[in-house]
Amino acid sequence: MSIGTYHYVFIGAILFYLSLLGMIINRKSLIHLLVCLELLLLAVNINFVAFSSAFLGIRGQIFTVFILTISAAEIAIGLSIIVVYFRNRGSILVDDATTLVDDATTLVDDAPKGKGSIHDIS
Amino acid sequence: MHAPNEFLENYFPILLFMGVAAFVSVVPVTLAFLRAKRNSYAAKTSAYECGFSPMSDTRQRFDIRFYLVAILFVIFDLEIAFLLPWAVAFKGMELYGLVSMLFFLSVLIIGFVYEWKKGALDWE
Amino acid sequence: MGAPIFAEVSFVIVAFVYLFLSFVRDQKRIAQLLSYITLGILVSLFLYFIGDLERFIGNIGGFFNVTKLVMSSKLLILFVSIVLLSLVGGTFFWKDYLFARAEFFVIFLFMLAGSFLMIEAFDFLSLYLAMELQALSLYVLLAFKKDDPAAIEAAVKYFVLSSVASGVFLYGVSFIYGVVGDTNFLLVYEALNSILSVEGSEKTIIYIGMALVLSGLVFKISLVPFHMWPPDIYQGAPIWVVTLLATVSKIVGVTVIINLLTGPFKALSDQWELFFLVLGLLSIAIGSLSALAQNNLLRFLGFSTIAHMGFISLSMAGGDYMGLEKAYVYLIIYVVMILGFFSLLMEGKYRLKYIGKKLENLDDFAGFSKIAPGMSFMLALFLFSLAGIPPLAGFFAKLYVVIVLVRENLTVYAVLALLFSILGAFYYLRLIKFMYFDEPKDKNFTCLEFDFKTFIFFRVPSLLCMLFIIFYAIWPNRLINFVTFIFE
Repeated sequence: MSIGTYHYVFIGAILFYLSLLGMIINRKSLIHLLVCLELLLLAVNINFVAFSSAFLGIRGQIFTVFILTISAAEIAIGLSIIVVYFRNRGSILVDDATTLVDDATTLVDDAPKGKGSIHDIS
Repeated sequence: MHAPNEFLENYFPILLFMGVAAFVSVVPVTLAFLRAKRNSYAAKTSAYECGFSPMSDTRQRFDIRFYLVAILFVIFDLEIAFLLPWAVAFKGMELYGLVSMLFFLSVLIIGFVYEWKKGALDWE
Repeated sequence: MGAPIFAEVSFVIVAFVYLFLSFVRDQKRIAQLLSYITLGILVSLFLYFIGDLERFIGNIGGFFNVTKLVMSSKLLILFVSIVLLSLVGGTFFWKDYLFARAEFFVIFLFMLAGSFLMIEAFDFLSLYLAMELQALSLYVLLAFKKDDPAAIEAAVKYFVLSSVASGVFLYGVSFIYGVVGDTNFLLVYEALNSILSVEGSEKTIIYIGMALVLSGLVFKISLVPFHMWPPDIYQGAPIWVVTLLATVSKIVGVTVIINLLTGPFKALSDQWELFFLVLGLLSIAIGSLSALAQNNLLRFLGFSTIAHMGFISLSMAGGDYMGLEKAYVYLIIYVVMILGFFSLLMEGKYRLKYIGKKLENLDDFAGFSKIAPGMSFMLALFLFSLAGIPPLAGFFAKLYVVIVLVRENLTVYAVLALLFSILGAFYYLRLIKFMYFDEPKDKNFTCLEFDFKTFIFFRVPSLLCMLFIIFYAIWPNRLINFVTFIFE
């Protein structure tokens, strides 16, 4: 069996779902979310490069270079926002982000509370 | 431009693949959740330091300035991603390529001047 | 060549000039100056554009395509940003120096350039790049209030969700590229036409790609499966940025979706009609019902946004040009209403903060009509219009949507939408009840007196919006004819 386009697309799909899962399941730090975000965009890149080589067209590769750049810019801004967040909270736990919650959930009083263990930014 | 149809006949499995991919990526995680034995004890969770007992917490705080440098690095790192293909294809583009790249670089330089003047590059 | 996007280019150049002004020591003075200069630039652009809508129509290198629809969306965005900058100018008089830095105007101009490029994009590549330019600027604007934990949390939440949405959008684009082999809208349109006419397996891929692309864009206008962000972000973020998100972001989102539906995805109308029908109905239902439980004013406005966007989506589900036209009419009316409402709210917040009170929860409005009679009268009018009470513009907007649905034999959906919107009217009326029928919390309140500067910067924009929603009923055909003209 030779390796064809859709094997690459398959890998891209697996990576895509893994990164989405990583975001949904991960309850730890915001840095993990950033890593998953990067993975999401890289999965898309695999798709583009695979299709581009199948078509012998250049458009997909151009797309890839732009996506790489944009994802770097996005991560840079994300990191700075997280640094500001850390300065405010002293924690970057996802569970601690409970300032803004639905009034309906606070009535029931089972809104997630912060665990209190201060997680380092590293 | 028309789609090369006979080639695309092969794509039907992609839909199937997307389902399978979702399945494949969900299963190990779920299994790990359900099946994994969690008996953690002090020695297992502590950091491994060549047989010594750990001397301090391994989760040290990094100085925030490292992040700043990392952020600035990433931007200039990716500049190369544009410069390299440009350099390879430079012969075919003549003046147009040169001017576009000069414009691109000047935008970067404006940003660089800004962060320099704002003191983002000073360590102290 | 180049003329159609000269506004965006000049925004970027002006932004770079502003960047160097950020080195000046006295930033408060500079910021105040810049707010007037930027206001002047935007007003002159607005007057230049409104002179002749068809002057700038053209296609640039296959990457951008300026149409009449794009021009009118640009005019709408310019109008909104003029009001927004006037509000920024007003904040300086209430000793709020949140935006007192030259960088703020740099980011704002980048945001505007991104929005403009996004609505005129004619290729998925340029659409993605413009989308990111806009989104990245919005992240920075949301995180501008560095020492407010709620604002930063809102910024983090919006950042994560919006980035995922753009990732999903890209994943969809990659599938469309995989079938078509190009990303230009025109080429995609032609290729899809020829693919759909023959039976083939790649149809499935196209459907998946289109669903993913539309999901990424629908996040921007917060339809239901992607509706988790507006309540949180509205509650936490600075109110000025919320106004920006509620207006400019929605205009851009709806215009881009209309561009896609009339362009590359035109041949797939059977598919996206269902998509928007389901999403629209769910949005109206969930938006209206969740709003009932809210106590925080901005949070409940977040849910009301979801319900309103649901109406736009339902109108798009009507298919063909008629549905899209009415969606656009709804968008214009909605933007004017919410802009007026927010500028009043901002004025109220600043003035009460100045005398040590706050306007955050619904019960903070108790007896507001005695403290500020004029302002509460205007607020009540906007609320009636948002709820869709007959003589006001909001009623007509909903009426058109219902007419579209009935024409398309979707009467059941129209009835359901109306039922939910009647439920939703309750929470608008609750605020009016607080304002007019409750006593103020502290008995010895003082009335807000007339203030000339506040009047110019805050009240004049909201008065303009109010005139629009009152007098819309007299000449409803003007707007309809204009929109028909835009859609050709």
